[in-house]
Order: sequence, then structure tokens, then C-alpha cells
Amino acid sequence: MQKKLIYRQLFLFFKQMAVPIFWLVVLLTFFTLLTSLQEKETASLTSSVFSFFQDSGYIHSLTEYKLPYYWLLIHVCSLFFIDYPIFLDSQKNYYTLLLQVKNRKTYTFSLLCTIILCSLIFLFLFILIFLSSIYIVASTHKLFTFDDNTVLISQYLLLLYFSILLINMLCFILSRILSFQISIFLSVLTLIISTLRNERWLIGSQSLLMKQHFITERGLTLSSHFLITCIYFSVMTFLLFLCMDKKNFG
Amino acid sequence: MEKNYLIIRNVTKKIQNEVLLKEINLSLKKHHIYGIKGSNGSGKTLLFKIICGFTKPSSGSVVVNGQTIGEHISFPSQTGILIEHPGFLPDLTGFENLKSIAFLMNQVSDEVIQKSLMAVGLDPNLKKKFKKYSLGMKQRLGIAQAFLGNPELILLDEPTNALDEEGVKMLRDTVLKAKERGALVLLTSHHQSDLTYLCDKQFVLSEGRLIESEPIND
Repeated sequence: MQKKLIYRQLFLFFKQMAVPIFWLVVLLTFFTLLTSLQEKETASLTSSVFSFFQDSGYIHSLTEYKLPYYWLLIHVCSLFFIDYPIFLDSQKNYYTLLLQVKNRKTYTFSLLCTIILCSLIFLFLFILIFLSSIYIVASTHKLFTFDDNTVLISQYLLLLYFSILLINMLCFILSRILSFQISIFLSVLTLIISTLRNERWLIGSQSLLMKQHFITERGLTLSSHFLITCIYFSVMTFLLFLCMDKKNFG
Repeated sequence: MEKNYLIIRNVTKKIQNEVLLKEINLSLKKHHIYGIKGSNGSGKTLLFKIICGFTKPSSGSVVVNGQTIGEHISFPSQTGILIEHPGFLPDLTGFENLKSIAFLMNQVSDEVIQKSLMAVGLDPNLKKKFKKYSLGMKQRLGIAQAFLGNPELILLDEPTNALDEEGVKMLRDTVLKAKERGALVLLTSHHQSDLTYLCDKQFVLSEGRLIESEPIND
């Protein structure tokens, strides 16, 4: 029954969100390419990918912080594309699903698996379309050079996956006790604060977000980020099971 | 003599020191239709949620087919419900919504879903999304879902809401057919005529207490 439930939720995810995700990534890719084409002389694959996530923005003119708008945009979009359909299905079909599944823990576990898998699919679509288009431009116009930072890119994308997963879990847990709109707001606020603070104990600390010369600084310790992620994931999983057990929708 | 399928024993429900249901006792059999009449806020929906295991009673127990809810099982099996407003995914059609639920049920094919939709007066090939449905259509879809898979216990909370005359007739036919095949149907309504026409036995829920009533014609 758990497998059936997960298949069902994945099917609903694809049915409702596959096309909007596709167009989102195409749009973001288009803007990134436009940005990169302006740097014809110096453009490389890595800088094209990361220019996407680094933007001085208006806040930088006022403070020392560089707020990566696209990084935030990807996360906000993930909340709408991943979390919202799961939330909606839980809200609308909660009683019916419980009667079919017959066990709250089974249902909660399937929700957790769905969030994990949908986050992976979301990121995969992003990687597939975004990097494919970069490659296509690189091979046709010879504006970009492939450098040996593909390991860095992979690590960065892994970090992105962790943070998308955790923020979606947080939003879903909050939506059990608050309205979805407030949950999204609080989740994004958490993301912005953690991005700006960039503390050692937060996911993505010493990541490539806030540093200008990320290519030269290979101080990304993936093992510590993985450990921090595991801790956060465990706490969130516990909270998810707790709130699903205690509170009904409606 | 047919044994009781649904037994509610001394169920009491308090929320924030307010007693909403007081020592409810019911013993219901299959092949029967039971009705509960009560005013708004009398606790009819709460009672249904307790029967289904969505809410725990403050005291007492609910036994469905010999199994105690909350002890042997978390939720009763083979149960169809229509509680509050029918909830479906807004961007799917009626057929797609039912199919997404039927996927979790055994032996509910596309053909069965189509017949369920036709039985409630909805076109199975209708491409209109649920968010564009009228209130009556939404209610019909909710009824179709409650009866999908031929459940043995069917709980219908105000099923005639938003239904026109033809819809009420459809509902009555559907409920009577379910009774014939052996289901236990428990429904609530404001309208005495619905209860009088359909129910083998009626109850009134008033001030938290359930009393068996004699049918009164309008």
C-alpha cells in the first residue's frame, strides 16, 4: 500500500507540475544564457552556472551582503511545485486516503518519500534542462570553456538538493498547523535568514553562495554538510510524524 | 439473526470542557439504513469522525465488524464516507479524481469508475475540471466516491445538500441499492422526508444525546 501511495502521489506531481517546472527551468536558463553571453571573453561553464546563483542585488548596495536571488527563487518555486500539490492532496483527500491506507504512520512515511523523490525529480529536471542548454550553447558558439570544476558543480547541486528537501519538509510541517500561505512565508524567511547568516551550523555554510572567488577556494567539506543535513532531516522527520499523528486537517 | 456490524458504546466527546456528545450508544446491522437528524452544530459530523477513527472519543469505544477502533485497527476497512464538503483536486476532472483514489482500491477498474459516475448522473467523459463544477456536481462526485468499491459501511453527512430533485432521486436509488447488496448506510439530514423515505430506523441528536425517534411525516 505504501508503494501504491507513493506512485499515486508521484503521478499527481507529474500530472500537475511537470509542465510548469519545465517552463520555469527553460525561462531561468534563457536568462542565464543572456547574462553569460554578455561575458563572452571570460565565460566558462562554472561561471555560467554560478552567475545564475550569485547576484549583487539591491541589498548589496546597502550592506555587505550579497543576496543570491536566483538561489532563493529556485527554493520558492520548489515550494510551489513540490510542496503545494502534496499539501493540496493531503488537505482535499485526507479522510479518504486515511481510510484506504488504514494507518497514519504509513501515510506519513509515504508523504516523506514523496517529498524526497519530488525534490530529486525537480532538481534533476533543472540539471537536465539547464546544463543541457549550456552545453548546447558551448558546443555551437564556442563561447564557453569547460573547466575542471565539474566536481564543484556536482557538490553544489548536491547542496541544492539538500536545502530544497529540507525547506519543503519545513513548509509541509508548518502547513499542518498554519495556513499554506503563512507556511510558505515562514519557510522563505527561514531560508533568507539562514542564507544571510551563513553560520557554521547551517546547511550550506562556507558554501559557494556568498563568496566571490569560489573557484579558487575549494574549502567545501561535503562530509560536514552531509552530517548537518542528516541531523536536520532526522529532526524534521520526527516533527512530521508527530504533527501528522496529532492533528487532522480541517 | 444478523449480528451488529457497528457498535458504539458509551461514546462521550469533550472539547475544551464542553461536552459535545454524551454517552452515545448504537448497535447497527448491515442490510439496513439508519438516519440521524439534528440541528446545525449538534455533533453529527463529529460522531461520524469518531466512527471513522479520525477523532478519538473522550471515553467509550467504537467497534466495526468485531474490531475496536483505536485498539485493533486505526480506521475501519471497507468504508465509504461523505463528510463535510467533498474534497477533490481542483485541476483534475471528476474521472481523474476518482481514478486517483481507485488506484489504492483493489478491483476498481476504469469501467467501474465510469459506471459510478453515470449512476450519480455525471458524464464520465466530461473534460471539465473539478474547480469548474457546480455545487450539485461536486456533491454528486462526492456521493460517487463514497459508494466507490462497494463499501460495507457508508457514512453520508447531509448527502442531499445542493442536490436538485433528480439528484435526490438518484441518491435514494443509490442508497437503496447499497442496502440491497448488504451495506450498512448511516446518513444525516435536516430534511425529515429523506429520512422517512429511506431509513429503517431514525435517531435524533440533541444536546449531545442520541435518541431513537418515531418518524414524523412533514
